[in-house]
Amino acid sequence: MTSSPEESWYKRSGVEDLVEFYRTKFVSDEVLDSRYFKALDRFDMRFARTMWVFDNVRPGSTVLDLGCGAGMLALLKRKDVTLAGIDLSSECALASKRNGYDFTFSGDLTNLPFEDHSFDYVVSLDVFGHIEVSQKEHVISEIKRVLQPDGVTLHGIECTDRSLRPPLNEMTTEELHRFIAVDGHVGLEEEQEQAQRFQRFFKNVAFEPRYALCLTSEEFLKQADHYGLPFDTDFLDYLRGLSFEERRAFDIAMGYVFGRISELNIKLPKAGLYVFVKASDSELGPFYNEHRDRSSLLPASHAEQPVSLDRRNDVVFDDGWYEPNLLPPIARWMAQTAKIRFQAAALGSISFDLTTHIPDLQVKPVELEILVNGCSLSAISLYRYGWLNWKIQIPPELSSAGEFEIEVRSNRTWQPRPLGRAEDGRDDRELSIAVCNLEIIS
Amino acid sequence: MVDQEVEDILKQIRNSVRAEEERNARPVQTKNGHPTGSNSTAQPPAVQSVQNYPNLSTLNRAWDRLPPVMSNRRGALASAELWLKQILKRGSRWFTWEQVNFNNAVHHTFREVIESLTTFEQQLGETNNRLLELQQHQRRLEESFESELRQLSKTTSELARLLPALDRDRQLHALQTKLAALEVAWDRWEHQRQDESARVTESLLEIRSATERVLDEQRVCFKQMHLEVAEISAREERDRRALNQRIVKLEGAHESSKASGGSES
Repeated sequence: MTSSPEESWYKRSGVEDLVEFYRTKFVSDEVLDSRYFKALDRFDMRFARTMWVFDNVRPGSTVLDLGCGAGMLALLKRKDVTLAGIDLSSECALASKRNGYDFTFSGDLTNLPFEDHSFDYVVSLDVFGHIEVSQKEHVISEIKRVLQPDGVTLHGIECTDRSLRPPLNEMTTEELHRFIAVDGHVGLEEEQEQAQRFQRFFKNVAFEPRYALCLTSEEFLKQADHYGLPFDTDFLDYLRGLSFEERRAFDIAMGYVFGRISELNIKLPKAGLYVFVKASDSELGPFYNEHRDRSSLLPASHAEQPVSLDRRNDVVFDDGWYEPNLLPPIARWMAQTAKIRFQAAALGSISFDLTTHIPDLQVKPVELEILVNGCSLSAISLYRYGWLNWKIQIPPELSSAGEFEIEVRSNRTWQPRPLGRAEDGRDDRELSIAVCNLEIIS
Repeated sequence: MVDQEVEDILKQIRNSVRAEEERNARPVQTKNGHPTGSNSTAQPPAVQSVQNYPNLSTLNRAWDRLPPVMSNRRGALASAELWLKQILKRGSRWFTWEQVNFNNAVHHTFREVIESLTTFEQQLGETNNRLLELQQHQRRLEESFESELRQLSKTTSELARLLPALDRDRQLHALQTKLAALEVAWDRWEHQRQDESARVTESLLEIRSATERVLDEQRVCFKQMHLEVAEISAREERDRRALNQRIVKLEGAHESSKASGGSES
C-alpha cells in the first residue's frame, strides 16, 4: 500500500486514485476503541490476528502500526503501549486516532516519518498483500530503520497458492480488475516467499502459516465467492443462512480453536491464505504468547472506577448489546433485551441517553421498560427520533444492594439491511435502541 | 333574247365563281397587309358549295326530254312557226340540252347556295344572339362591378371613419392581451410563491427538526466528552497518586539504601 510511481497493477486494474480506493474500502465508523472492547471478543475470530499481536507485545512498549486502517490494533492500548499508526489514507489515520491511537500519520510506507530506532515493535496486519512486490523490500528496510535494534516486527500477511491461483501477470484485464476490486491485493506471495524477504533484513525470522482451519463465516463466503476456494456447497449455503447471533457464535468458536492452536503451538500446513511473520535482529521469544497478559481485557475491580459505565472495564455488557457504533456519539445498539452488570457501593439514580432508527416510530412507538435487579422501575413509549435522556430513580430498598443488574427491554426490533446492499453490505442485527452515557449517581 | 339573258346570267355566275376561286387561290391581304392562309375559314358557305361542283354539269338523263314545241299563234303562222321551231328544235337540240343541263346545275347550285346561306344566316343569328347574351352579361357584370365598387367605396369611407376607433381598439386589445399575460404570469408567480412558501416552510420545519436533532446529538456528544474528560482526569489523578506513591517509595528505598550504604562504609 504505497504511493510509488510503479503502481502498475492498480492502474492496470482501473484503480486511478489509490487513496480513494482504500478510503472507500477500509474507512468505517466501526468503534475499535479499546475502552469499548468486550472481554468475550478476545475469542472472536475477527480479532484473532489482533490477539496474536496483543499477546506478543510487551506492556508499556512503543508500537508502530503500519497501514493502521480503522485501528484494528487499538486494543493494544489496554496494555498501556504508546501506539502510533500510519496509513496511506488520511481518513484511515483519522479513524485510528478516533479509536484511541496516540499518534497517527498519513503517508507512504516506503518513507516513514520517524526517527531511526523509534519503536519497540513495528506491526502490520493485512498490509503486505497490498504492497507491490517491487516495493516490499523498501518497506522492510524502513521497518528495520525505525525499529529499535532489539525490536521485534510482527506481521500478518495475506498469501496466495500459485498452484490454485494464477499470478497477476497471467490474468486477463477483466480477471485482474475483478480480483483487485475485492481486497486490493497486488502483492500476494506464498508464505515462505514472504518470510524470505524478512530474512534478507533480519537475523531471526519465524513464520507460521495460519487460517488453514479457522476463518470467520464471512471470510469463508468471501474466499468461496470471490477467490474461488473449493468449499462444500451445502456448507456455504449453511453459512449464508446463519443469523447475526449464529454467525457470532460460529466466529467465537472458530476464534477459540484458533487461539488453542496457538497455545498448543500446533504447526499448520501452508494453505496459501495467511502467514504470521515475526522477525528481529535479537533472539526471538516464543512465536505465540510471548507477553501474554490478558488481565486488562477481563472485568476488573470497580474500585475508583468512574461513574460512567460505558468505558469501565469492570462493567459487563451481556450479549444483548452489540459492539458500539459511531453514530455519533459512540453508542451501543441493543437487541430486544440487554443487561448490564456492575458493582457500586450505593446507587441513587441511573441516567443514560438513547435513540432509535426503527421505522414507523410515530405509528408504532417503541415500548421500553427498565428493570434494576429484576424490579421494574420505569417504562416509556418512544415515539420520536433523536436523542432522549432517561433518568431513573432507584428506590431506597435497592440502592445499597452492592451488585446491580440493569435490564432494558424493548417491545420490538428491526434489521437495518437484512439482505445487504452492494455499498454497505449486510446488517441483519436485530436492533432496538442505541444507548450511551450510562451514568450512575450515588 | 331570253337565251341571251340566261347566257349572260350564267356567264356572270361563272365569272363570279372563277373570280372567287382566284381570290381564294391568292393569299388574302389583311388590313395591315399581312397575308393569311389560303385555307382561311372566312369563306362563305355558298362559295364552298360552288367549289364542290367545279364543272357545273348536270348529267341527269332522266330528265332528257325537251318541252313540246308551242306556239301562241293560230293558223298558218302557227304551223309555220311550229314547223320552224321543229326544225330549230332538232338543230338546236344539243344547245338546248346544254342550257337545260346548265340551268339544272345552276338551279341545284342555287339551292345549295340558299341552304348554305340559310345555315350561315342561322349561325349568324346564333352568333348575334350569343353576342347579345354576352353583351347583356357584360352589362350585368359592369353593373355588379359598379355596385361592388360603390360598396367598396362606401366601406373604405366607413373604414376611414372607423380607423381611429379601430386603432384605439387595437391598443385596447393589446393592453388586454398584456393584462391577460400579466394575469397568467401573476397566477404562475403566485403558484410559485405558494410552492416556494410551502417548500420554505417545509425546509424550515426540516431545518428546525434537523437542528433539534443536531442539538440533541451535540448535547449527547458533549455529555460523552464530559464523561470522558472526567474519566481521564480521574485516571490522571489516580496515576498521579500512584506515581507519587512510587516516588515516595523509591525515595524511601533510596534513603534507606543510602543509610545502609553509609553505615556499611
